[in-house]
Amino acid sequence: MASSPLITFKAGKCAFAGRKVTPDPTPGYLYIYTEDDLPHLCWRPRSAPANVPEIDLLMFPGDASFHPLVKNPGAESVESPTSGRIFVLKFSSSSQKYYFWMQSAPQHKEGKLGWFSARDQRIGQVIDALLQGEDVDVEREAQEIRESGAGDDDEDHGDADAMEVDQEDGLTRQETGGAGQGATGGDAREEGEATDPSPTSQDTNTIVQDFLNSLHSTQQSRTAAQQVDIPFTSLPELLTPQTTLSWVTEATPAQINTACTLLPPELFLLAQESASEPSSSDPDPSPAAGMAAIEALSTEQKKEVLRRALRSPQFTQSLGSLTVALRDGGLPMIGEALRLKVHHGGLIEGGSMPLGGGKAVEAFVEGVKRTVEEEEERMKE
Amino acid sequence: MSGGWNTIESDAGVFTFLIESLGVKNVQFEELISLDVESLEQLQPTGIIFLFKYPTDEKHSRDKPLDGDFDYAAVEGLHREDEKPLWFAAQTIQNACGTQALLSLVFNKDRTHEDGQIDIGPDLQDFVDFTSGFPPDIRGEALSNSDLIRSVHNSFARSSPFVSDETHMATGDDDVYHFIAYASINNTLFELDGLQPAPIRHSEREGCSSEQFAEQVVPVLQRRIERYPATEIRFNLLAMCEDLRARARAFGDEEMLAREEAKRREWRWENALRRHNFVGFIGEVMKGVTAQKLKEGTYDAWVEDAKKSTKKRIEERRKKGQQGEE
Repeated sequence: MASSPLITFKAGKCAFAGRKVTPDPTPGYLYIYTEDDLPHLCWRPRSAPANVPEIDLLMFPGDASFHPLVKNPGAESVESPTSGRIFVLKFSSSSQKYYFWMQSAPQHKEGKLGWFSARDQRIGQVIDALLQGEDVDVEREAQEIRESGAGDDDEDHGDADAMEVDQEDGLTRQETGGAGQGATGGDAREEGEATDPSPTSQDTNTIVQDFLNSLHSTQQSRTAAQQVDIPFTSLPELLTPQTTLSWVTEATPAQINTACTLLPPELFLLAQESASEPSSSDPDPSPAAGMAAIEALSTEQKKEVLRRALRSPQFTQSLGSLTVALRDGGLPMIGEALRLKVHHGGLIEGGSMPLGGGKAVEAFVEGVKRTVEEEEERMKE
Repeated sequence: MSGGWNTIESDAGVFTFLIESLGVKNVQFEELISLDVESLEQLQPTGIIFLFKYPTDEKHSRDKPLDGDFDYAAVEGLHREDEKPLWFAAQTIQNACGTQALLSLVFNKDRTHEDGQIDIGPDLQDFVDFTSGFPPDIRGEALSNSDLIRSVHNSFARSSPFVSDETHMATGDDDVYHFIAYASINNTLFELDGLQPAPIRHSEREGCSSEQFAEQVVPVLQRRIERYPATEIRFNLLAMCEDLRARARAFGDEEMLAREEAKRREWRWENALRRHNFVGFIGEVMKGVTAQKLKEGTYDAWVEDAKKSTKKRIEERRKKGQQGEE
């Protein structure tokens, strides 16, 4: 079921031919709504009803990016090479592009028309984040955008001019001051009661379903949407070679043995082979052969195998993909597989959906800590 | 409906073990560090695989390739009465293209060719026989539908129970490679690119024997590399040759044999790691490190450092995103 728009701001569409981008003067709104967890980026003229967008693009998270069109990339000042502020929407799956221009009052003190204020950039960043499928607390972002823009606008436009954000219930309006004739108070109320936008066609539903089915080979868990997320960190950044190698040096023989049983037995058979023997090609040695090899090696030899494994690109890659799995809702499953004491089983507070994003990684790390602490307690008894 | 194909690494060890697992005997892949005729000649290669990161903006025309000439007739075996048709397949699945390039080399240099000697084994022979009458696009389909080939290919895939596009972001590596094969076939130098409509001939017909292959393919590759801006393209060259251990034994070269054995061990090591599911191991290492940090009193600092590193990475990515505009 479609929800009301997450974020809306005044923008116009542009025509483009070759490299020339021509803004269309029609006053309009650019907005994002989600359906079945997928964002739609839409544009409609302000005069049109809320549920009839002229442009309605279904976005696959990560496929599209939304950035200011800048004349000097990397420069301090974010500025379009035109007499207006232009955003470009690009896709990695096709060469199609869309250009939109901001229709709110420009905020540059000297009147540079192509200059993006911090507020303008923030709006773009929120849209981009939503298109990446990131969890964005749009309400909070909107609040901060409004606060950052306050005091700069003249009475004709005000903050209400830049953007409106509709909440789920659609009834409370974020009233701001300075609403002049350019303000969208009246129109915004229509948006607030946004009804279902044009019903998705059969084709779109099938595409969405196929996409969701293809996302993961394991069970697709959807994380709780619209949570405040934190970047936290990733497993490769926690388990750096420096950190892991230092652990190997300090670890007890018992810990070393346990870790070895969790590596492929082939590694230990190889460690046993002397340099002059012809290399056998058996790719699947039996676990028994592996165990025998582990037992035959000294602790120092085992540590050497562990160090090599910890430095390997394959290990680093697996840290990355496990991080992604945690962020994508895999925490309950992983926590259980590893028998970790994860808070609330890795589900969100008061709900049954898995945690996602940085919060899931944080909960994983904390789960490990709790498990370790409890083991220490048990050992003392 | 065929199943999925996972990405595999473009690595000499992976390709060698992959081709062996398919039943091909006595073949090895070697990475070419430098593109010069002498080094290549020393290997006595039966073919070359050239791989580079995609996408490129090269425009392909159906009439003429950027270098060389399309040779549609070679696929039919029309040039000479007793000529063996060239085996060529259109690429259908991105992730399969490495294996596809590899097979197109091997199928054109097998024992049924007058200048080929590779024993491709019974399973692949069945596949070749089965697809012999097909046009290139159907052959490509047949390849992507082959359970045998796909399952062996996938067994060398990155071990990840969690397959996601975001893995690329996390690891910073984006392996979208395009693979092209070069070989002397029917004494002619050919380029086999599954994205092109036909094989591309780079020498006069009958103008490039196996002995002349190294000397003639190097300038062709150099011309190709020069087409790409130096900063934008990363490429790899893998030469296909006989099992070098066999060659070392034939020459009684103990040193070479020892080197090759060591290389094989290295490959087995990497392969074992590649196929391994690390989840359990990661859990154990996390617990070990956590316990150690708690004991040392450095736990909070450890997590904080990691978070700082993450913030920095995100900032850099954001800056790059803005720089990507026209």
